[in-house]
Amino acid sequence: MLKSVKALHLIGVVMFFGSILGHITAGLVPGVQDDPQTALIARQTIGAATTYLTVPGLVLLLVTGIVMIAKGRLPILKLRWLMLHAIFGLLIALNAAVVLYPVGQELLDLAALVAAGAQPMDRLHALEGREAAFGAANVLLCVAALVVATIKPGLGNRQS
Amino acid sequence: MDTYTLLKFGHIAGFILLGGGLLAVFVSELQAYRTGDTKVFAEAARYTALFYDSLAIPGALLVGTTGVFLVFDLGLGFFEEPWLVGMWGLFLFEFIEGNTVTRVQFRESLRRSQEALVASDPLTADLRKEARSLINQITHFLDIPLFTVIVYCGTVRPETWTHVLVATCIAIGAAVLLTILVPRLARPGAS
Repeated sequence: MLKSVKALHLIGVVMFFGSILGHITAGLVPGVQDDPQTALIARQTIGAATTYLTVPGLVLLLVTGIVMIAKGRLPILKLRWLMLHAIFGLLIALNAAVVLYPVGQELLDLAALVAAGAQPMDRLHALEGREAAFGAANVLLCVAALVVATIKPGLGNRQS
Repeated sequence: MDTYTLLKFGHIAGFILLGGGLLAVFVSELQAYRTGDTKVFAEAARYTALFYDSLAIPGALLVGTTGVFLVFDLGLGFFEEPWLVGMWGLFLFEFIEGNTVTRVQFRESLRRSQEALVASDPLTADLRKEARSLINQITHFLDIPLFTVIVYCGTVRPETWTHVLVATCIAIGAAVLLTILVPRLARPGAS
């Protein structure tokens, strides 16, 4: 049972973190910075990846993470690496839900307006700057969470 | 940090890159099936190529390299554990298939859709068929189910060949279903 939940947790990691890497890659397509139509298609692709991968991946991560802690009876207060991992996970979820998801929706709407000629391209770039800053923070948090979960550092507590 | 932990970290990071790339390819292909616009269709082919080359291939190389070193580090025999044979066997199959058949297919898809875009051709059923043949669809839709079996083998570590074979058969069945259903259900106008 726990092994299956762990497998689902790993699939959640791949869906969530992998899709974020996909978002970054989609932003590197030639023409995405200066051609409104290309920018709109990039935002639509990122939007689809968010709907089908990022959000379900994050939900899967949180649910399987909680189940593993509960079913495995892991002493989260004693295992500091696990506490740190959970805190990183919550910060990632919070950043995604409060900042990145709404900004992503806003960018998609704005890209449609820019492609229709109703808004200048500069406005899109300004909003993308905000997404890049908070997105970078989430990538760093994901890497930190992954490092902590793999190394399981003692951090001064009794290791099980 | 000891060698095992470093290799394990690299192995998981590789899986994230590889899986993320394959899932991103799935989404870009889905966009291609859903659209009625040649520009979106051509861009989707470009995204597919980009995701393969920038995420899936580096991820596969990282998974393969760290995987071999992990087997040696843990003192495991390559043929002793069914789950391990399942992991490297399916990985090797995907790696070879992905860099031969799939690569030829997505390059052809990119070439044909870019030609149509330059010529301002409308997105007809024939153009769709030319850009994405049946073999192209099968190779794309086989990736994620087989990747899932590799993850299953690595985390659950089934001890019998039956479990590995059943999981592989289910994956092939899922790939067949995806190949039949996704292009039809995602088509513009399909409910």
